[in-house]
Amino acid sequence: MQATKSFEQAFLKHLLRGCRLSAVSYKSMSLQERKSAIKLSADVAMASARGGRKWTRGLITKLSKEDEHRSFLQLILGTEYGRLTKPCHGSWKIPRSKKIVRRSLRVCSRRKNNLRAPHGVKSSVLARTLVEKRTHALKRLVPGVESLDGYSLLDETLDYVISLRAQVDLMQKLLTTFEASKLGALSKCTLPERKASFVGK
Amino acid sequence: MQHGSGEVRGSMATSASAQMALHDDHGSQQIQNPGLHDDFFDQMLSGLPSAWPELGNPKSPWDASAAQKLFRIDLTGKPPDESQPEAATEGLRYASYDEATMLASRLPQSQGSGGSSPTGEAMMLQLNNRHILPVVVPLQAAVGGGVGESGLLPLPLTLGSGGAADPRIIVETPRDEMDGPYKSPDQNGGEELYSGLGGSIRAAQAATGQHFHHPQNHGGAAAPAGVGQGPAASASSGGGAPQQKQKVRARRGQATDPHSIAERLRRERIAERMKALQELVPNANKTDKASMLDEIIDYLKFLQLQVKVLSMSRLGGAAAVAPLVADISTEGAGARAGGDGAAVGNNDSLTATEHRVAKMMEEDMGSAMQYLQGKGLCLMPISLASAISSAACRPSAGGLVSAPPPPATSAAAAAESPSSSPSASALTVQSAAAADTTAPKR
Repeated sequence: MQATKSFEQAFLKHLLRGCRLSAVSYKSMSLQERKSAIKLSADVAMASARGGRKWTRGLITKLSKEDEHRSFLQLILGTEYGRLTKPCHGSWKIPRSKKIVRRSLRVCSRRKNNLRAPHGVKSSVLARTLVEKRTHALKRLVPGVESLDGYSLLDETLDYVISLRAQVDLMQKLLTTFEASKLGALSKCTLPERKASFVGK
Repeated sequence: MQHGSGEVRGSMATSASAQMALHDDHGSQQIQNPGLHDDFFDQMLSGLPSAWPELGNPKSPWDASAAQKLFRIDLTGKPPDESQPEAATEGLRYASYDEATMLASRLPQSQGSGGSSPTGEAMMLQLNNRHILPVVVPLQAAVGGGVGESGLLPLPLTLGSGGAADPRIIVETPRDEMDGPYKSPDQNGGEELYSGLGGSIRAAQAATGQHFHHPQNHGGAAAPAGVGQGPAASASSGGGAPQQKQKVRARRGQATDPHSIAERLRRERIAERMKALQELVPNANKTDKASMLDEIIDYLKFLQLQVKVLSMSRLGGAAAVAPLVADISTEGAGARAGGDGAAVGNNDSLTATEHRVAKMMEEDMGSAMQYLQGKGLCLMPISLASAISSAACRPSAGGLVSAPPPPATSAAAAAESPSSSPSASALTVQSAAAADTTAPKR
């Protein structure tokens, strides 16, 4: 599964615009600042390039939780910002307190275990708990999928993986391009060196 | 009727004694009953279920209440049908105790006689279908003794009794044959029980034999479907012709109710998504769902880490350069209007250069690079160039962004290699230009 060309183009455009906007430079910024600025630009670019998915909304919501990012987001996204951050009623679920949910799950599982498997742990219960644990871990990794069930969760994960891969690929290409061009331009290096720098692509 | 009940009472005592004897000999499996020549009877009685002791305890095992408890049938309900007394006099009811308890518990409490007769038949025939040799129990005696006239068991033996026969199971033809063995037992008092038992066992065998053919297509699904379906089926198909009906039956182990179908669909969709993820995530040849999720989680963490590392790299420098490149192309586009002819000429030369470079790239990357460098060009991904061009100015035809080289400084000339693969694409940025622009800006 590949990300589309339009996604790639939109991503690059937004990334470059974002970097310019946050005035990334080697002189004034430390490593940490630069890293967070570029990462922010990259994430916003990825989300805006993709459009309206659960994980894009979740990502932007997460990013806009911090005040300093909010203005940046508004500048970059413009009108899309309002559209992407407004709550999507299709996925709206009753906000549940995590503590209460966890407690009830514990009680239920304990009751099930007492009733069904007095002689030991049943394999089906064990398998289900394993899958549940991993589902929770997945929900923590992918933004905005807290309230989704099995199928939708996998769907969003799939989309998110594709977008992340495209993001990484494009950033790598950008990096190698500029590195190579700088290398080629600045240094009067010989042919084998240049060849080596291009082979990596 | 009176004759029947008289018989019943007469046989009751003997049956009681027989039962006691059986109960005593229960452990030894040696049942000494006079007049039992039938092998089948021996077999059956040797396999008596342990439910016997439960009946053996009370003084009057043939208590109506006990039978009622067993069958949970409202015996004091409606008076039996016309055909029932006939059946009652002719033979004995039988059922196996544990089966009976199980099946009876499924019977709804308030079954009328009309409904219960097919129930009884269904029950009995389901027992037959299961190849269980029914344990002969003179239940009629039990019930008849207790309840009297109205106590005729609403579990008639004959299949054709009443109009509300279960069309699934009932076949008309063996009816007469079935009645035959019923008539065979002698009507004298003492012997009647045992010969009656033997006769009814033969009848059971006959019934089993008869009905092997007919319920064949129903298989095992009929039996586990339970008696609950029996009255329902008979009710739905009406009391019409007692013919075989080919109903759609679910495969064994699968149900046709909408819940399980929805479950199956859901599971299939999830499996499809997992397969798609398997293609994406490397090293994902796991069949287990949990380990597959593990791999996905690890891959996600890896990708996110990669993004972090890349953003820490010298991408900042690239980002700083890029807007300048974009600006340059704007300049170039602006200046192009004045030099269209030159631009066209440039385009042609660029195309020719493109082809040359593409050819050289196929054979030797290094020489291609050298050639480009000689021209003052270098490589860039297509997507970057097109993004820059679309962001900065209107894209030119054919994906070429060309600008006449300004005298001193820089111009961006882009050429796309026609044979480029998505990963390695050829574009040009004047490296000298980049160097020049970066130097003062730094």
